[in-house]
Amino acid sequence: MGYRYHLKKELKSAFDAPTPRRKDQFINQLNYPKASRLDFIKSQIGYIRKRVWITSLLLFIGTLLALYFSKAPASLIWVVSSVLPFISLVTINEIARSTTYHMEELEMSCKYNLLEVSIIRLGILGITNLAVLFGIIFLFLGKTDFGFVRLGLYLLTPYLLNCYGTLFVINRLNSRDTMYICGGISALISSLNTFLTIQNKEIYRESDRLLWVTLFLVLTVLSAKEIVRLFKRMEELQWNSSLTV
Amino acid sequence: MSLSLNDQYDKIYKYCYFKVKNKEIAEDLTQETFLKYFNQTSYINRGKPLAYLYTIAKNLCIDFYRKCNKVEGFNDEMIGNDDVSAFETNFAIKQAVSTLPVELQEILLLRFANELSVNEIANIMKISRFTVYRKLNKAFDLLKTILREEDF
Repeated sequence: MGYRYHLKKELKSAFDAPTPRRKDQFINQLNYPKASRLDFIKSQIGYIRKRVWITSLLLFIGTLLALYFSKAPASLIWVVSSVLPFISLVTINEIARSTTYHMEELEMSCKYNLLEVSIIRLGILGITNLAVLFGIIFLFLGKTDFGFVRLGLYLLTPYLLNCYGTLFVINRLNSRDTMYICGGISALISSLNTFLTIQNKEIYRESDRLLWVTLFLVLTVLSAKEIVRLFKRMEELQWNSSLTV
Repeated sequence: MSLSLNDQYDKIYKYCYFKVKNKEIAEDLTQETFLKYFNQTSYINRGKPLAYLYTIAKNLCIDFYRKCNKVEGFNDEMIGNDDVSAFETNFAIKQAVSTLPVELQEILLLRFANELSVNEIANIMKISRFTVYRKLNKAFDLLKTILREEDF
C-alpha cells in the first residue's frame, strides 16, 4: 500500500514536460466564446430542483381536474389558496438553498457571484409561480363570478403571508433546521386558511375587499423587504469573503 | 472551463509532449487543439466532457505523425532536443515508465499526471472502465517488477 502510494506520487512528476513558452500570450489572445446572459439563465434552470416544477405542475393539473369535476367551483378557492403556501415554501427553499446548506462561500468563489445566481433563480421561479397563478386564476375566472383582481387577492394573500413568514425565519436563523420551521409555518398558514374559511364561510365577501387589499399590500411590502434583506446578507458574505482573500 | 483554461493548457501540453516529445511541436499542437475545440463547440460553460479536448489533441498528434511519416522513429530522434531541467525528478521512475507499452504510459499520464478520473480516461481512450482499471493494475505490476530489479 505504502509502496503504491509512493509510486503514484512519483508518477505525477514522471511525465513533466518543459515549460511552455507561448502559453500566456496564447491564452490572452484566445477568443473563446463567452457565455451569453441567456446561456447563463438556461444553465440556472437546470440547477432548480425537479420538485419545484413537479409541485407547480401538480397544483395546476389538480386545480384543472378539481374545477372540471366540481359542482361548486367557488368553494375550491380556499382549497387552492391553502395549497399555494407550499408552492411558495418550495420556491423560497430553493432560493435559500445555498444559505441553508452553508454553501455561500463556495458558490461565491465561482464565476458568477451568489447574489447574481440567486437573482436569476428568483426571476425564473417568480415567472414560473406567476404563470401557475395566472393559469389558476384564468381557470377560476371561467367557473366563478369573482373577477380577476378578487381571485388574485384571495389566492395570493396566503401565498404572500407564507413568503413573508418563511423569509423572516431564513433571514434570522441560520441552520439546517430552518427548513423544518418553514415547513411548519406553511402548514400552519395552510391550516389557518382552511380553518378560517370553514368557520367563516363569508370570508370572500365583496364588502371585505378593502381588508383583503390592505392585507395584500402589507404582505407584499413585508415580503419585498425580506427579499432585499436576504440579498443584502449575501452581499455582506461576499464582502467578508473578499476580505479574507 | 474558462477558469481552468490555464490548467487545461498545461495538461494538454503535457499530453501532446508525451505523444510527440518535442516542446515546440507539442505547444503548436496544444494551441491548435484549443482553437479547434472552441471552434467546434458552442459554449462550454456547463462543462463539456474533457474527453473531447483530449480526442482533438490525440487526433492532431496522429495527423502530425502521418504528415511526418515517422510513426515510430520520431520519439527517439527528437528526445535529444528536450529541456533537461524538466527531467530532474526521479530518474529511475521515468526510466521505468518509458519501458512500459505506450498505451500503459498514456493511461498513467492521464490518471496521475493529468489527474483525470477513470471514467474520463475510459471516454478518451474509448475503452471500458474495467479495462482502465485492469491496465492500471498491469502498469503498476510491471513498474513494481522493473523497479525492484533496479532496487527502487
